[in-house]
Amino acid sequence: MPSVLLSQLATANKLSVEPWPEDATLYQPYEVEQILLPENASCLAVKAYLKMCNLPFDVRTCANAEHMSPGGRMTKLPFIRAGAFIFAEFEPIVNFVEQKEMAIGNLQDEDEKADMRTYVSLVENIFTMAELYISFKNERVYKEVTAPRNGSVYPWPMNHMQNYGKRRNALRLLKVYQWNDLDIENVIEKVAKCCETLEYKLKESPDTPFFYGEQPCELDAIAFGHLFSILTTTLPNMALAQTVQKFKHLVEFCRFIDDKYFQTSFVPC
Amino acid sequence: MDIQLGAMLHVYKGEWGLPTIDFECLRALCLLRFTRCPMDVETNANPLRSGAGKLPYLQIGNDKFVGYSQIKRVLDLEGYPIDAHLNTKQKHLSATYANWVFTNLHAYYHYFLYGEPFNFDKTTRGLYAKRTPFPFNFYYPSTYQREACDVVQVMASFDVNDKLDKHESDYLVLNAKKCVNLLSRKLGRKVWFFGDTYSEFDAIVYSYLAIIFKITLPNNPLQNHIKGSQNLVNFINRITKDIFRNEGFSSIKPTKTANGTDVNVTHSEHKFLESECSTKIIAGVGALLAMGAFAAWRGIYNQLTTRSSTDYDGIDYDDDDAEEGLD
Repeated sequence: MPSVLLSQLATANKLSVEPWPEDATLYQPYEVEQILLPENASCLAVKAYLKMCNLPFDVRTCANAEHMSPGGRMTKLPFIRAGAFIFAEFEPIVNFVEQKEMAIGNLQDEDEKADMRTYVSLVENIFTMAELYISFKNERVYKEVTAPRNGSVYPWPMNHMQNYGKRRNALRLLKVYQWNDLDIENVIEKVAKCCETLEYKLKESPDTPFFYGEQPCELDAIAFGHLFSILTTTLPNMALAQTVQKFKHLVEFCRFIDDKYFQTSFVPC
Repeated sequence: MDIQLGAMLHVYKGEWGLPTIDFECLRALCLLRFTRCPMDVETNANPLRSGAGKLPYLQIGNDKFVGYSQIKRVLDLEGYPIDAHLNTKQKHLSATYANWVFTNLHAYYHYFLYGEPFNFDKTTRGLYAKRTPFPFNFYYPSTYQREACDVVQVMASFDVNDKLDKHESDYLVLNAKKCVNLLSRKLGRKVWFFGDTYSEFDAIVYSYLAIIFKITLPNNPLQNHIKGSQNLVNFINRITKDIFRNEGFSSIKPTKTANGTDVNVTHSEHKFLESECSTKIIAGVGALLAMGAFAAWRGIYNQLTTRSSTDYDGIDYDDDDAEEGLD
């Protein structure tokens, strides 16, 4: 059986000639009762990206979205079904859209593109890990928010089993990315450093609202997804949100993207 | 605490001309040598003493700092920050690219060094076992394998313990090759990635690529790919020769010119070779003693002496009796 990740790359190449399918559907967990902070962030990032590209898509919420996903490196969510093909997580979806030449941010030269890709990977790693850390390693957040929400869609004995499995996976992810032995101060330091990098990048082009020039790009989408989720999610421990709030330019940036893509032009499909 | 007094970095001994065989150790050594921090390096280390079962660790007095991130924090506090000479933009880019290289090469490194069963059994396990004292050499190499299992499961979503034909390593190789291409283009003809000054990004790239490039594994698809990028090969060789001139170690060189007056062998290397020799002698004596003890326990010595004497006596008397009878 060929690798799922590799076949995603291969199909993205093959599909480049076909137009964007009409029935593209984005799958995600229930937003009100179920979804957790890291998943919410990645779902929002993908939605922002597709909206920036002006591609039509349908959102379907289902309880077992994570288990339907073909797999990925971090949260495995969201995944998109476009025609007969399925792609999960931000990067494969972006690759797929780029092959169709409907993507945004095609104007940059090669070096800028490489830089931008590394920023995307930084934002994805640091924020996802920080969100996982706060959701699963902070006892209070885990007991009061993460466990009840994640278990809410399952009946009694199943919810404990699901929580146990989910927490074990999350802790393993933190271990692999070498975040398991950090304390909360180190996590905040890392998040603050990443925000600093983003704010510095944003200030490089002060007269434009986006990170790279007049046009939005992947970096805008993923930064918005994570920052906005962190800012708007209420948890018993608001350390992450307080850290992000110190960066006024980033808060401003989130507000701008939210207004532009999610408030005014929001047309439910 | 004073870093000048008795601070000691413990790492694994090197091979193939590199100062160490382990990525985390090499990264920590890069921090030390790039910033010219005056600190001693101990290559005859025991992972048990680190408290976390892993090298590298930094010992200052009674304080131990295990792992790269803790060592880096100590060096930053003591006035040897690695990114000090970069401007603000480069500092941000250095951290960003370091993270990106980690995402692309970490899983490759772990899979092909520890996860791939042939590579691990033929090469890597031996490398680590030789550098760990008895009896821990039976245990610690496999902890790396277990860690690699997690890394591969998370970053490449397949299980190392599955059958070999279910290992979906093509994706890792493809990603690593793309990463190497970009690194080669980004390095260009520069000395360091950011021009004239070193950075953390240089340290991490060197640490991954030097080990992947120099290691002699049965299956290592990235090695030839790196050979194709001449500037990266030069980058690796230059740092190995210039910065780790005194620490580079290769086990083949000393055995070829083993005439006792090897100038290239440093003190700790001497100790390493001697300890290997003495281990062989002790093992030989131990084996002899064990065999002797086993023989004594089974009563072989008694049997030999008693049986031969009774046999001899019996025949003599029988013969004598027979002869007497005939007479």
